[in-house]
Formats: sequence, C-alpha cells, structure tokens
Amino acid sequence: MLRAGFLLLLIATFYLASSILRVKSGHGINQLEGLYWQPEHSIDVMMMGSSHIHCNVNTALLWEKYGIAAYDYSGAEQPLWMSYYYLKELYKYQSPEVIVLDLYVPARYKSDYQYDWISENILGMRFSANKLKMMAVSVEKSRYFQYFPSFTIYHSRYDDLEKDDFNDFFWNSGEKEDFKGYTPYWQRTPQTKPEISENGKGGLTEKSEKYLRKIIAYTKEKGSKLVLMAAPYVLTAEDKLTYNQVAEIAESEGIVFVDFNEYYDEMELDFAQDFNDASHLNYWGGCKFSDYLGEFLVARFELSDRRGQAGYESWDDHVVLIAKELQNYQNGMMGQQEDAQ
Amino acid sequence: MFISKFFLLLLGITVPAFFVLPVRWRAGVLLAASYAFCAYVEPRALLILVAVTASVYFAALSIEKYRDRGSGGTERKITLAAVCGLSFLLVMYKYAAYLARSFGCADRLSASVIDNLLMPVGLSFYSFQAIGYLVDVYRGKSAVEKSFCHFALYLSFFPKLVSGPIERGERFFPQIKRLGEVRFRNRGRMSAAFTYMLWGYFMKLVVADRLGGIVGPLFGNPEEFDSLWLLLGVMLYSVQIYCDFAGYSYIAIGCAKVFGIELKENFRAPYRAVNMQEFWRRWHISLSEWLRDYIYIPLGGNRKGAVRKNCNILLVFLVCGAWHGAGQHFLVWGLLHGIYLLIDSVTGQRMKSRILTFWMAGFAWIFFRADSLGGAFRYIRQMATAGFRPERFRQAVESLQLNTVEIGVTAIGIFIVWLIDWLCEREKMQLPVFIQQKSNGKRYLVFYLLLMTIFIFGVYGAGYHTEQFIYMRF
Repeated sequence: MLRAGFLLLLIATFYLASSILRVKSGHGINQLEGLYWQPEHSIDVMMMGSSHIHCNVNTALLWEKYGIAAYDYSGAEQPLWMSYYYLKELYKYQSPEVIVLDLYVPARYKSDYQYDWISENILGMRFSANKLKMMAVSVEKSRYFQYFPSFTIYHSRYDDLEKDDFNDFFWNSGEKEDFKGYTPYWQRTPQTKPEISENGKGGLTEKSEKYLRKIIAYTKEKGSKLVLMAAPYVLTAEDKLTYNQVAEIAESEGIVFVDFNEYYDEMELDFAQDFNDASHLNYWGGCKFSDYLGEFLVARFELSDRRGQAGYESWDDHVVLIAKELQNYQNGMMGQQEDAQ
Repeated sequence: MFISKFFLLLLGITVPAFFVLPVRWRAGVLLAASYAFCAYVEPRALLILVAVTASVYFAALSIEKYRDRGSGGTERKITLAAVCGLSFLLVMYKYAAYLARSFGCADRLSASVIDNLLMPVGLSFYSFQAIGYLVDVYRGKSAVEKSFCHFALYLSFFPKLVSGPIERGERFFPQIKRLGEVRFRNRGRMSAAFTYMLWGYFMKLVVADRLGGIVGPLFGNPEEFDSLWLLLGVMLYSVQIYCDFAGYSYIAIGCAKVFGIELKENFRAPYRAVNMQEFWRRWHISLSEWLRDYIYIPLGGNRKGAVRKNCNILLVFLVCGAWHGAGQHFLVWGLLHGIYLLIDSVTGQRMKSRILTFWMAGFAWIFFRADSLGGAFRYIRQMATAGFRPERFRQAVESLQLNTVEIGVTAIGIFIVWLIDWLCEREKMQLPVFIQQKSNGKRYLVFYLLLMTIFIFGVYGAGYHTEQFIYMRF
C-alpha cells in the first residue's frame, strides 16, 4: 500500500514537474503537442511543413469563412524526413481528408541533418516508436542524447519559468484544444517583390526526395489527398528550381502542387504591408493568403462545412482566441502611439 | 562514468543476468560486466588490466609455491620484482606524458604516442590493490586466490574499478565465494543499496557539479575576482571535491551492494574532523589505510624514533601527492598535508578546531585544484592581495552566471550535506544504514525527496557538460 502510494506520488510529482518545466514554444513544440489535445478524428485539413505554415495559414479565418476544420501541424525549418514521422504520428489520432504540405525547407536547406531548429520539432512529440525513428533519421548518433530524452533537456528550466508554464496541465485541456497551431507574426517589414522566371529543375536532395516520395505513398495508403505547395514569401531563383522539380514529381505521382508565389497579385499581397520578414507573411498577409488557400481547397475538394456541428466548438473558441490576440496587438500599438505623443 | 547511459544500461543487463542465470556463473557475470565497462571507458585500459591481472595472478601463485617450499628468498625476489614492476607501470603512466611535456619532447611525439602514455582508467586503484595483495600473500597474511575469475574480479569489479575504494583481498575474496547465497528479494540490502546510490547521485549531480560551474571560473581567472570571492572559491572547491569523490564512492558502494558485495567505507564526514590526523582517518579511508599498511609501517612507522617517524610521514604524503597526479602542485599538496601532520604530531594533537582543520585542508586544495604550481601561487597571491572590491560584485556574479535560484539550490545542497554529515556523526553510522532503522513512511519520503531533487536540480543532460568525476583522473 505504502509502496503504491510512493509510486503514485512520484508519478504525480514527475507529471507536475514535467508539465511546468516542459519547453513551450510557438515555433513547433506547441503545434505538435497541441495535436494530442484535439478531439480525435475531427481535423479535415492538416497543414504541414515549416514556419511558413503556422505563421501564414490562419486556421481561424479558414474556419470562420469556409467552415474548414484545419490545424497547423508544423515546426520551424522542418525537413521532410521529420514531416514523414509527424505524418505517421498524426494518423494515430486523426484521419484528415486533405494534407497540405509546404516545401520551403527542401527548397532552401540542402543539408541531410538540420539542427538549427531541430529541438522545436522533437520536444513536442510524445515518446513513441515514431519519435525514435524520427530521431534516428534526423540526428547523427553522436548528438542523439542532446535531444533525448526530453526531460534531460528541459529539467533545468526552473530559473526560467513564466506564468504560462503553470498552465499546461490536463485540467487545462479546454484551452489546449482551442489552439490550432496558428501563430501570427505582427511586424510590417516592406519587401521587394521578386521577379523570377526560372524554368530549370533541380536541387531537391536525395534524402528530401526519398522522404517526399514516402510521404506521397503514405498519404495514398491512408486515403488522404495530398496537396504540395509553396506558401508565399520572397522567392529566389534557386528555390524556384526545386519547386519546378517538385512540380514534375507531383505530376508523375498524380497529385497537386501549387507554388503560391505565382499568385502574389491574385491574392492581392502588398509587399509594403503584408510581410513580417522576407520569409514570413504577417497577420494581414496571412489572412489574404489563407483566404486564397481556403477558396482553393473548397473548390478543389469536397470538404464538409463543420460550422455549427457538435464536437467542433473549439474552432469557434479558436476564432475568439485569434481575435483576442489581434485586439491585444492593436491595444499595444495604441499604447505605443500614446506614449510617443 | 556512473552518470553515463552505458552504465545504466550495463546495470540494467547485469542485475537480471546475475540473479536469473545459475548461481555458479555469478562471478563470471560480474567479471564480464566489469570488462565490458572497462572496454567502454577505454579499450586500451582493458588490455592493460588483463595483462596486470594475469601477471599478478601467476606471481602470487609462484610466491606461495616458493614460500611453501622454503626456497630461501625466491618468493621475496618474485614479490619484489612484481611490486617494482607494478610501481614502474604506475609511475610510467603517471609521469611519462608529463615529463615528455615538461622537457619539450611532446612536440616530437605523435598524438597517438602521447595518448598511449596517458594513465589508463583505474590503474592507480587496481595496481595498489595488486601490490597489497602480493605483499599480503608474501607475508602469509592472505591466502593466494586460486580462481583466476575471482582474482580478476577482485581487480576489476566495475563499481570500484574507476575510482576505488581500494579493496583488500581478505575482505573481498570471501564475499565473492558467497555470491551464490545472495538473494534478490532482500529488502534491507536493496533498500540500503538504493539509498547509497541516491545519496551519491545527490552529492555528485546536485552539489558537486553545480559547484564545479562556480569554482571553474574562480580558479581559471583569479585576477577577475577579489579576495572574498577567492576565499569562497577555496571553500566551495573543498565541498565540491568532497561531494564529487564521496558521491562516487557512495554510488559504488550502493551498486556493489545490489550484488551482495560490501565495499569499504571511504568517507566518514571528513570536514567534521578536529585536526588533520583525524581528517585523514575520515578522508579517502581506503587510500589512507593502504599507505599506512604498505608504506608507513614497512618504513618503520613510529617505532624508530621521532625523527624517523616524521620523515616517514613526509615520505608517505609525498607518495600520496605523487599518486594523485603528475606535477609539482600535487607534490606540494602532499607535502603540505605531511607538514600538517607533523605539526599535529609535534603539538600532540592539542589543536582541536573543525573550522581551522577545514581551512587547512582547503588551503591545500588550492594546490590540488590548480593546473600548476604557478597557478596555485597566482591564486594565493591574488587571494591575499586583491582586497575587498564591492564595486565589482555584480561583474563577478555575472561572470560566475549566478542567479537567485542557483545560489539558493547551491546553498541548500551544501546545507543538506552538512546536516547529513552531522547526523551521521551523531548516530555513528552512514545515512543508508540510519535510514533503514526508520519507518517505511520516513524511508519512502527520503527516497521521494532525493529522487525529485536529483531529477529537477541535478546537473545533467544536454546543455550541461557534467564534469567527469574528479577522481577518475588519478
């Protein structure tokens, strides 16, 4: 009895400590962890890829305007071999109609091991065979234990805790459910509109191509429709080479690829106002792109309008959450203006 | 090594193998685990360990054979040759790389030659065990061990391989012979083993490694700090090396206890000693006793007059200093302790002060911690002349990366170690033994607190480079 009590106390304390100390980050960890809090088999469109997803794809707008139950299931600079295991983890809990995969990372980064943002793509995943397999292909053996087990990475955060760290327990599941991955940026940094007319193809590394083909095969096996895309940013000719190669692969596999950089004008992107930086749209640019993407998805696939359906209340709350973030931003700006006056 | 994943894996495999496989295989299982451990730490060290084991094993058999025959001195020659051989090996590995560097030959030698001249893991400890064993066999004090497996295990037993304690054959061999009687379900033994290990990990991961982060910059750049910080550095290093080495010893004792083997107690609240003689009866006990039995007493001990006794003390501590490492600073450290003991001896141990003893040991630790003799003097000079500079306090705090939480955890950690030492001194027993006498509830509470403290406040994992156990280098 006493031994059982001791074990229970140990487990409970470990859970509490782990929940408090765990790294919380909107660059990928929260997005992956948030998946586990979503109602099972509720997500229709899963947005995958790098920060170009969770910064650009406004899930609140997709819900409010098109009734699409979407989730930004992405991590900063996530390479395709990690996306593949994200995908495998995803199907344990969800069965999306459509998977939208952004391909900025394979177009821009060519190394077979990409460490800059790797923690963001690892720490959110629960311990599982998928996690171990993902680590095996993403991290060189000599660096394996720099990222695993997770508790050894974040146990010393005790002198770095903030208010939000005490809000990550199972009894806060409602708030966790309302988060759909979208993490808007609020800066306005003018950019120069690129004029790219590259028709050549190439640049996809062997490893990226291997995992792209695995992703295509796996989504086909699971019966989801895959959309490959490049979300808008300040495109370069080198990146375009890879997108052209991806377009060819997509065509041969009978799937859709859309480079949304070709539709800057159609979605009315303002390069003076709609960018946070050269790589990311800000909230306003994201709204324009998400609107365009939503229209595309609704036209292309028979997606159910889930608005008003039971079990989808959290998307309504998500809209409120994003509206609140916008309000906070606007209040902050007003405060700054008043201070300046 | 006790914080490596390999060690945990090895323990995870060895414990079930030890208890599940036939009991007659137990010594073999422990030997295989010990050799695997040695090979993992340093493959080269395993070759040397096996070579030393075989040589000493056959030397001991020969000594016994000639002694029984009464061959008139052959056994003495074999003992002398074997002891000289082991001593030569030890001195060569301790000093070859150092001398090569000191005389500027290192540049002319390839990196692989220099690497091969470095001290193999554990040699300092098992060579002393081997010397003690050979001398005991020669004196007829200890029977020769006929089983090669048992003898090999005596030298290589993995919990004590890297940093001791330095075991005696007369204590160890009977325990190996009784391995078959060890039962897994023995609550008292397992519980005590668990407590030893937990307490050891607490001392090492929560206190010693945390202090390492503060002590390192203080000794690395003493010029950046004032006298107060440097005095604090001496105090903190004294605590660090105690928690590091005693922590290691407790883990080793706990780990051995899992297999039913009782290793020698190596520390007994050393900073509660009231004079230096008592300090050495409490600090690294297995080494102090080895030096007493195999160097001090054979040299005549205190039986040949005061002058000879004092010379013997100085010589023993010079050997002690040289054993700890190559470099004049280690010799000075040993010599200082020799002088401390001479003072004790001359004054008839009239001086009885815990604080003074602590600071005397602490002052000597400066030579132990410094990279060189010059480095030690640089630290002492700065400590004596820098004075108190409150205007640089913030800069010092920043360069030591101290914050309120770290300071709090460090202070509480040190206080807990002090408290447990005080308790053990009062109760005249080690913490794990003391804990066994308490109710289940209290025992579990201690387990819980230690486990959670180690999990959260231990210095381990990525971002931290847990310092190697200090005594592994010796």
